[in-house]
Amino acid sequence: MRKVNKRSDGYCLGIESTADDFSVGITTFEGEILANVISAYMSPEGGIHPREAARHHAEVANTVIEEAFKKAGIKTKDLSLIAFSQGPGLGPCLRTGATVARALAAYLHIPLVGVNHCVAHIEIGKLKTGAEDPVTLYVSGGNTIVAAFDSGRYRVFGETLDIALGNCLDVFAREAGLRQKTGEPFGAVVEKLAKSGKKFVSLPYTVKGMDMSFSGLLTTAVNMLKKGENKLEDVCYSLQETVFSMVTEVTERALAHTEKKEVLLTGGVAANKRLQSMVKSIAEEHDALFCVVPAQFAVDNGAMIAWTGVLAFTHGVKTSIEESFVRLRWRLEEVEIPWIKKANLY
Amino acid sequence: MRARAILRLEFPSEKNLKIINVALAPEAAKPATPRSKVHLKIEEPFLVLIFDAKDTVALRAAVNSYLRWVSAICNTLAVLEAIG
Amino acid sequence: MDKESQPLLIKKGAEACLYLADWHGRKVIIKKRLPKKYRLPALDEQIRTYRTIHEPRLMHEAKKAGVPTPTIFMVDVRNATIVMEFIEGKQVKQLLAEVSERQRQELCCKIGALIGKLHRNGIVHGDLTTSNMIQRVDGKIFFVDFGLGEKTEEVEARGVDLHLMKRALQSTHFKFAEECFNAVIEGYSSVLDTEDVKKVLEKIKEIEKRGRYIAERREAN
Repeated sequence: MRKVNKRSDGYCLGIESTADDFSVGITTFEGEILANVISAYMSPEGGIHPREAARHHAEVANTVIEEAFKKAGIKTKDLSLIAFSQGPGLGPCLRTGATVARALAAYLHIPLVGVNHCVAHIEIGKLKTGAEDPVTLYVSGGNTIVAAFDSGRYRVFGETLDIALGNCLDVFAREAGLRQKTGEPFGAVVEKLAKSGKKFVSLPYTVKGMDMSFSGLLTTAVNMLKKGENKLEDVCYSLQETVFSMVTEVTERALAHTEKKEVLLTGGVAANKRLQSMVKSIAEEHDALFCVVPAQFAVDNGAMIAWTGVLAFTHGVKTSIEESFVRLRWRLEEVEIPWIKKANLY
Repeated sequence: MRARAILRLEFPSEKNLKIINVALAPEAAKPATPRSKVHLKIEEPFLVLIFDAKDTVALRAAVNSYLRWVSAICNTLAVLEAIG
Repeated sequence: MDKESQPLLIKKGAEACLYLADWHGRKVIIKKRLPKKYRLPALDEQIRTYRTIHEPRLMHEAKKAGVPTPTIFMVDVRNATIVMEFIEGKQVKQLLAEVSERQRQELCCKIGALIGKLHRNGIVHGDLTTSNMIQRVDGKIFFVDFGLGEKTEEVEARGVDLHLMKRALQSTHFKFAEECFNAVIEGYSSVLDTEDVKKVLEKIKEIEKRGRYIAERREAN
């Protein structure tokens, strides 16, 4: 099926372990993705448990790596770079990925590069959709960020002031006693229920400047359900409509402000069809191209780390093993992006 | 209460011993919590891990983490050997 | 007699369109909040109505608190339209990039004092960016766009308000964001009690730490 171009540059193996997924991806230096193996940790009670997830990562590391090599059809000596997600994320999870990455680099005597998880989401999104200079809406269980490139960095235009949008949906689903099938995120359960919701009930809509707050809304929605005055479907529907309208409003403001011509939707929540339709609507309004990242590259994945590692490494970024500490709160705008030349001031 | 544990891990090859030491060193240099610290040294063929913690709970957490990492690395290195 | 000229669209924002028009012989800004197709009509109307009623009220309160805002001439709730005075001047966003370092400091200090006056009088602006501040030709600084503002004395809301200012400086004026924000705080501190300022500054630090990983905080506890 796949053509393997044996390149002299070799290949990069990327390890992603910021939260509850452990994933290994292998890419060429040209951006061809040869493997992207994801092992998701699902806690029996739902929600993120950093220590449990880290234990899962340590247990599956070898098999996930083995499978990635098999899928890519390469040998260990073909690798010329190891990339790992250095942050931001959960300490125990990040450390597990980092120790394995260091061991790989030391064993193979090849360079190591630490990658910012949020940058990686944007870069794989650009690679897979062809977007060149988008306003990015990145919504997942751990992050809610509206960002765009300017003068050497991805600038954060808007973000959550408290919890992430995906986390808001997860906690709501858990509080509502919803059950998820293996491999199915809570967001998908809420999306399904929302489809049969009809009555819109008002929930706190909190946009402050470019930033958003979801915790008050979550509490209201949960209490509403507990009181039993509204049907679960209607609350799911109203919850979705409200939170998605909030992120869309902020994205539209960033789009109007930067006047960019592309909108990139990514992160675990990007798979939601209703959110897609809203973001598409504002893209059209501003004559911008709407791009949504395919699911397996929108969730946390190793391929995005490998690809961003390639971009960084080929532009002079390296991380020595001694300095490869994990960075739990590594902000997107702290990262220099030497591979984008354009310094556009709007 | 203060708690200390010393682990001596023996590895089949000198190469693996060194790799594990290198991979763990940044974690030992920057502990995740002030409640415990770890000192690593090589006494061939052993990797010696000395844990000092504020209490037994912190000690157990640290020992668990390091043993898990060691095991993840060993299993990974075995896979790499097999792939070639 | 008075021939009204055709309104001229001067800004198609994400939230509203601004028109420059002649209104009974005055130069005015017409702010119209247009329906958003992506939003559910019920939610859309709720948001637009709320902001249309709320904004003029807050602008009036701000003026009473000593913060210059455009005078409101008319509010048409059904059409989500506000007619207000046109302020002849320059956006602070533009000014900051043009002036000398010393002028920049002074300007930011003045802005900080105005924010202090709002907060002291129980108002948070809700969208403190340098594009929402206009320096009139006579040097007076006007605050506009109170659509996201609220009446509150909570430290949390004040902290968020200043945090937004800081973030706006970082995203648009990153080369001198820090010096600007320090000057803003200097001006802010000249208006509010030391105790209050201390609380707000602590709150900003706290806000900066959250938002990323809630589980991480849980774990740290």
